[in-house]
Amino acid sequence: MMRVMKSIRMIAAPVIAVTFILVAWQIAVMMSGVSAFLVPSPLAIGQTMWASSDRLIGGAIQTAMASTIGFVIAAVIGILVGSMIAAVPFLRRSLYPLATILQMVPLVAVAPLLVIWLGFGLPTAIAAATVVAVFPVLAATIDGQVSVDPGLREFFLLHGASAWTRWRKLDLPASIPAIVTGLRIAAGLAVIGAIVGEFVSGYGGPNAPLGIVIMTAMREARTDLVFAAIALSAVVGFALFGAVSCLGWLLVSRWHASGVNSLEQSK
Amino acid sequence: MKKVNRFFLLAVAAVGVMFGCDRADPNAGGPNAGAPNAAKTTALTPITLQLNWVPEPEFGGLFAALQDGLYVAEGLAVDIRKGGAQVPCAQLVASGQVPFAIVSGEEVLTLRARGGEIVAVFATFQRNPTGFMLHKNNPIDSLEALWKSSSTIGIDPGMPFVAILNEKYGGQNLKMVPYSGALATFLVTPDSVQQCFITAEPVEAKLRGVEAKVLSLAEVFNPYSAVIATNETYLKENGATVEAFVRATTQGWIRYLANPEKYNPAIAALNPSMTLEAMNIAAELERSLITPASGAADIGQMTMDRWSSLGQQLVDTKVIPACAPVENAFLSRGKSAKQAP
Repeated sequence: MMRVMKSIRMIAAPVIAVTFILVAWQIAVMMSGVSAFLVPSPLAIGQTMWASSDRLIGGAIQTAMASTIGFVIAAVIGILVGSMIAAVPFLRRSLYPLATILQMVPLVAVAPLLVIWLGFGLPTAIAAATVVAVFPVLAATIDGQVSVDPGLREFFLLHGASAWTRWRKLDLPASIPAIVTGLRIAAGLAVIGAIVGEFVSGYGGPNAPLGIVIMTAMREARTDLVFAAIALSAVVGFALFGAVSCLGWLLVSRWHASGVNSLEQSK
Repeated sequence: MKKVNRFFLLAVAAVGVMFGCDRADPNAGGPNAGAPNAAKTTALTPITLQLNWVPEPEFGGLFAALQDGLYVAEGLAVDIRKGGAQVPCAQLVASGQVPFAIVSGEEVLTLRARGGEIVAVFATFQRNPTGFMLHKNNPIDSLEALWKSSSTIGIDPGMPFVAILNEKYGGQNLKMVPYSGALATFLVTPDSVQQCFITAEPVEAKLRGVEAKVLSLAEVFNPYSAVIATNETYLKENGATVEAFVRATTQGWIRYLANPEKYNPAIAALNPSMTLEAMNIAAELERSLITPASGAADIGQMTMDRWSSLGQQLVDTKVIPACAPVENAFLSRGKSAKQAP
């Protein structure tokens, strides 16, 4: 019974907060009389979401596909390259600064180049998602693996463990909590990257991705549709974030302090 | 002690920079830098005009008026701001963020249909200067053939002529991708098709060694283009300023079209992506699109018939649900700004 009450409290808190914000927003728009092309009301956005659901859902599927594929590629590259950089001090000195610079390159400047290299459509959106999502995973992997208990590392060395065995049985498992944190950050960024990629490469038409829906709606002065598309892109990001969080929970809940603590708190 | 001195010097320098910035000419970094009467602007009415693209001959009359001091003679200190593909000019002017902006005719009616209080005061192009450019060897030779093909076309998402062409010719097999405004892809891809300003991109492509042919949109969609718009509140409160601005702009265009070579170097200095040679050619091409049949004195004028037919076309193709009364959408030359909506 206590656990049920706790679950209800956990769900109720964000629901109340979101409801309060939406009601305040609706009242503010109604009282101020601000034009709908500047700030639409939540009700107007909801109506647009309903009326344009085919267009928005089709777009969300396209964007979700680009974000997810880009995120998975970023995760694989980030974990593998991060592990190599963490294992080899020379690579850490030479490649890590380059990776940091990569993160600072503005995606909006790179995206038009991606179109020239990869062409229009999904490949550019995936590449844009990968470019922005890779760094958090890379950085988290490196931090996680260089922070492994030196005593445990010596223990593995004493028993003559190969580098592969050490990585597989010590470095990678020990860095999973850090990697999961990096993946959570990357999940949100991947959606942003995909949408920026779509701004320059997305195909128009009935199944246009959310990036094109946003640009089209801006041109048509449909601010309500812009907000609706932004809300759906947030849903895509939230879904990806949730999936990563679930995966992280499955991986660390039985043995790592963060997972064990959250398990005990929920009891 | 050394640290204290450094902090003190840093603080003094920061205050100096702040005051220095405060006193700087607000036009110093903008396209107006170097305008002959910039120093006299203190007693003039300041005006900002937001362009929807980078400086090009399509805005030649504005820069001519600036260069020849026509705005200053009308008591105006005009600041022309560069635009770009992502600058929402219509929304900026309708919300009062800027008093004037360059928009397209259809944007005026679309925004008015959504509750925006935007009013056209000057129409630069009497004939729609937009179209599609293709490589000269491309077998497609009409809008109908293009729209029935499976070409990939670079188009600004949300352009109303897409709905019009879709209704007329289908367009199910077309692949539409965002128009970047750049020529790089077009130059290296023989089957590439992209929207263009008849007076800009095809000229630049030719100068770079790629002959292009243009399919004009004017036959199926002919709104006023490069329209100067303001918002209703600004027009009501500053009617005399708007009229003065329109007068000077009209004279600027008359001067520019008579002698574009005089003014293009200043425009070219603001836009390194278009050569001076291309600007001179563009100015010649745009003359017939800008000058009305009634003569140069009527440059910029608009008629009720044109606005009505545009509104009807936008409603028929479901771009807008209904068209607000078009008589309030523009300021005709005979109508005083005080009579405006």
